[in-house]
Amino acid sequence: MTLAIILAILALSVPVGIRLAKGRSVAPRIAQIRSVDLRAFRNLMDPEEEQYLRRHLPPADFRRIQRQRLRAAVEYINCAAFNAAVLTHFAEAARRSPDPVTAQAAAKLIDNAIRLRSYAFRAIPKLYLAMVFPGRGVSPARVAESYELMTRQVVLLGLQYPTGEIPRAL
Amino acid sequence: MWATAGRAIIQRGSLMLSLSLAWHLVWFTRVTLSLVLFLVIITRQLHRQFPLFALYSGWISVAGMAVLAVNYARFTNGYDYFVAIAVSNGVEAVLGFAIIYQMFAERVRRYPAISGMGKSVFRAVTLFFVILAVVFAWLSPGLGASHLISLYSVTQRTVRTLQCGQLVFLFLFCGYFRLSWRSRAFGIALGLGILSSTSLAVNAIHSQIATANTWSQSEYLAGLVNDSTYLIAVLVWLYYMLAPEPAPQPTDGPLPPHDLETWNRELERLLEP
Repeated sequence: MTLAIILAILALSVPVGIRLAKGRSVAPRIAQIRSVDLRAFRNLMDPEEEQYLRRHLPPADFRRIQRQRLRAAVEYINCAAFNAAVLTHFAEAARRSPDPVTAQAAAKLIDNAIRLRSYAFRAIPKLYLAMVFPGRGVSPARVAESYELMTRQVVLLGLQYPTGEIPRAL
Repeated sequence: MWATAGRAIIQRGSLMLSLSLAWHLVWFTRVTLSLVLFLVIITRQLHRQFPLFALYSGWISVAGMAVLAVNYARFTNGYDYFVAIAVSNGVEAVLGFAIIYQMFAERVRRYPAISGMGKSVFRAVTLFFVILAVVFAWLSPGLGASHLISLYSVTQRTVRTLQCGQLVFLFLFCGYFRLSWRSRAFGIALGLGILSSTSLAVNAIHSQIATANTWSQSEYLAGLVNDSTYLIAVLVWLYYMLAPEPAPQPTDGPLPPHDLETWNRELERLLEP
């Protein structure tokens, strides 16, 4: 009977997966993009800052503060990943532009947005692991770099893609 | 007491007859619609876009008709029918795997950032589900009148477990990275998802309630549910193949100045605290 239940759960997870695949990609709006404070994120991930706190705080306080800092960092990464998802949707439309420059910029934006989500997928478990062991150093710096690169490309895309799709969403 | 028992047997018999009749009706409809699906794919020249799915639909219609013929032919026996079903489902399973992999490879091909990683993870997920299916097969060997039927039942469950796992991965992966689906490709995956998940659930439940040596009501019921699901999947595929593919909309036209400012403000909000 246990096996039947396990298999039934696996079978039921297919429609759930379908719902996630189709439902979550339904028409996001530019207004959904959340503000992500990159400097604050970098501060949270700064090893020197961590060393400073470690030196000046009692161990129990350091562990508590460090867990809070890591939790905040996870929030930042989640926000950046969400923004990347929204931007991917709009860049997909821009990629079909007849203008090769716009299409190229959109393709690059998609590439970076996907890379960021990939890094986020790997960085978040790492941060949760660091919450369990607060003394363990962690630096998902590539996420920050990728996010910066992506936002630069959004600027480029915004300047190069003077078309109706994005403004209508605004 | 004998009268009550007699009535119960008659009722049970008539229920089995109804189930059998319903099953055969669904079976006929499913095979007919599979043929319609194949013809739609050929006439609309969709085989150029989805060659493996065209092959798949061709196979399910031809194999479906062949199995029906074997079922009703006077010169065939139960063993012939079993061989026909096994060959039909075996080829269908291979084509199913090929379609899932091709769909995944097609999705990630346009995204170089995750193409290599995606394919590696797909292989790892497949390996994981192969191990899982083998463990399930070891924990719960199939019930059947003969060793061959048991083996077939376990193989069928293994195939469906693998397909379900691969499809769950495909949908979650594409959902997480927001990879764009063309509507027909999504329809094909949706149909396969409906088919494999229901078939797996029915197989799992049936393996727990079926008796080893009798052709009981549960056999008819499992057959009816499986063929009904198949019919639904064929209808889903037909719908997506007949529906027009929404054309991509790269809009053009000058952007009003205030829209540019809004866009820039949005970017500033991203870049500055």
